[in-house]
Amino acid sequence: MSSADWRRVSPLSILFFVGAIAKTLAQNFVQIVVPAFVAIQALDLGRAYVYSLGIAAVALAMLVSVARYLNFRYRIEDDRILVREGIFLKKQLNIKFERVQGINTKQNIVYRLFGLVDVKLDTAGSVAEEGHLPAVGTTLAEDLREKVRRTPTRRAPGEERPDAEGEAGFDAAEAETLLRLDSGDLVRIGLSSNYALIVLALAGSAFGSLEGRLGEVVIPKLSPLGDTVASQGAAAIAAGALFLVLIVLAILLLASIAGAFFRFHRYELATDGDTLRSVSGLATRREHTMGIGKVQILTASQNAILRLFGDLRLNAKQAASAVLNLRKSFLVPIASPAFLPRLLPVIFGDEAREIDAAPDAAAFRAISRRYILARFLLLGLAPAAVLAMNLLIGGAPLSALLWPLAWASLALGIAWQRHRRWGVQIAGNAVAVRNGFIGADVAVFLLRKVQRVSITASPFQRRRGLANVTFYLAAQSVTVPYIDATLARQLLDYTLYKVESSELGWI
Amino acid sequence: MFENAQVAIDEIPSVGDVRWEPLAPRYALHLSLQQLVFFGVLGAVALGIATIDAFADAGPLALVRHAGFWLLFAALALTSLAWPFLAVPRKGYALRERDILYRSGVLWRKLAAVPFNRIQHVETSSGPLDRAFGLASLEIFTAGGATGDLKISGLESALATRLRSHILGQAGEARELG
Repeated sequence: MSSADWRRVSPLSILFFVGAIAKTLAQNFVQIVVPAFVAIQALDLGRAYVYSLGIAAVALAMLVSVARYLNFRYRIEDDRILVREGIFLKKQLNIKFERVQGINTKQNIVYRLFGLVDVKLDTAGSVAEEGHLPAVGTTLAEDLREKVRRTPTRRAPGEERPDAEGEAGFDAAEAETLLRLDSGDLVRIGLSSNYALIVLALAGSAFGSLEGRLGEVVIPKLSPLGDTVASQGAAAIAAGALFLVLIVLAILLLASIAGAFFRFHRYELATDGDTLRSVSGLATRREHTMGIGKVQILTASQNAILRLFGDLRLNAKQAASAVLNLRKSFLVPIASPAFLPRLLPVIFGDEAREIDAAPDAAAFRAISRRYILARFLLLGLAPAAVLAMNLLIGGAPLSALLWPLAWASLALGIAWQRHRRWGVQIAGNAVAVRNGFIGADVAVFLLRKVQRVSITASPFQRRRGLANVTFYLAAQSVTVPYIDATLARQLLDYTLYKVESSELGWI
Repeated sequence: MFENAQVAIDEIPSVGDVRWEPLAPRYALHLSLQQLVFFGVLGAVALGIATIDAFADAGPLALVRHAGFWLLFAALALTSLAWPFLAVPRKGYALRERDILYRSGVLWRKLAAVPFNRIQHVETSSGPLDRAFGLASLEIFTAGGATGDLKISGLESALATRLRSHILGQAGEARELG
């Protein structure tokens, strides 16, 4: 491949550019459509006018896209890729391969027919500097990936991989598949998505109110004087409504499952040298990579439904860019807890060997029971007392006091349950923190990757010799509440010691 | 919970042993002055409203209401004015070889630590009132944080500048080492 000349991407990229324009328009839908509609109404334009305006707009979009395609060039050199683009405002990007953290590709059906992919070069910098080739041949994407892989990234001296000397080392660390998902997994992803949770919650409340209506309708029917025919009709309507809700619910859940199939069909997770790589998708195949050393924190979360299935959703999080409000993470949509002992060594090496990140692990130690009392006093008893006072002053009957009582006991129940979920494991170089209410989230991180650490203590906590510790990582912060104050200080000392004595970097 | 490190914990340096450096004592006056301005403005507005109210409704109950309000207002204002003189002596920082510590809080206590080898950049800033008092703030940033990750206000401005260059130097050294 003569790599030193400027090249164009495939003409099919015009499709991509048109799509980008359509996307921008759709995103600003309200801002565009409302004024346009008002203008059409105000100017009293005829139908022909509107149509020709529409056609003109489409033609303009096409023209702009063609111009963008003609002005888009790239050039691959031995150690970098250059991209030139822009119709009027020219922009040139210069990305050295050593800065590239990962190459993400996407292939929709049209691209697949023509053997093209959409390539994004993930660099540590901002989005504006991220390289993007809208439509290039699959072989070129592979070449790029190979070049990036062979370019040693800049590392701290200690972080050099011992087996990365020469090409033999690279080949020894060839791709190894860690996980494949089957159809059953995809169905479970669909059923346990956040979207499905919302649907189920809505369905629950709809059933609740329908049940009430049904009761109202059915009971008068039993009275001998009731108009039997009319109430029978009403019962039929209620039953029909119930049926309709069931149908809608089924359709929404099916849509969620279909979404899971579209996104995660033939999902495959693999390690490739020192990167994690996942490939998935039904119509559009996506390939996502992330440098393993870049992972700051691994979360294993289990919402109510996933808990029912006994499965986890895993997320390996990279450093977040607060300025751009950008969070990069690598998702494993579903995995059994048994997969964790396989994945943890891949991500954290030997350093998290003693951590058992499964939400039900016995190794998690509970936090202080005072947590329940504090939560109950603050969120249960105090509001309940205020409410009770108001009710009494307002002259409400004594039976109304059941409400604050109910609230207080609910708060107690929630505090108790949350206390049950809180747990912490500290083992050598790594920490795992679990929390949650119905489900559970476990966050695992290495102490040496911590950015800063703090201890806080409320007056209540100080009296009981307790404190909270917060670990701030580049991806997110993790708090361990209500632990022994001495332990909290030791933990802070220990974390600082680990961070400051570590010869390995955090990124 | 901690068996593995228990042996090492006695040998590693503890934040319990540090000598805390106080902030400039006049920083309390600075904060108090800020509160005075705030409550002055608030009080003026409230006085205006109260005057209008007094003309509109001059019953005996109105007097009680007004007295109650002003009593509450005075209590709140006085507490806020006095608070900095309690809070500032509790604040302090400690510079160690490899990190910087900051503690604060009268009721809710906080201790924060930032290792030098995680510092991204350091900023000093001073507003008009800060400059009148010869004070400055030092802000330390690490990766992934949204706002300043550690902000120490009420430092002598010359000290803030010296601290900044010292921390930057330490951070650069730490980065080169590791």
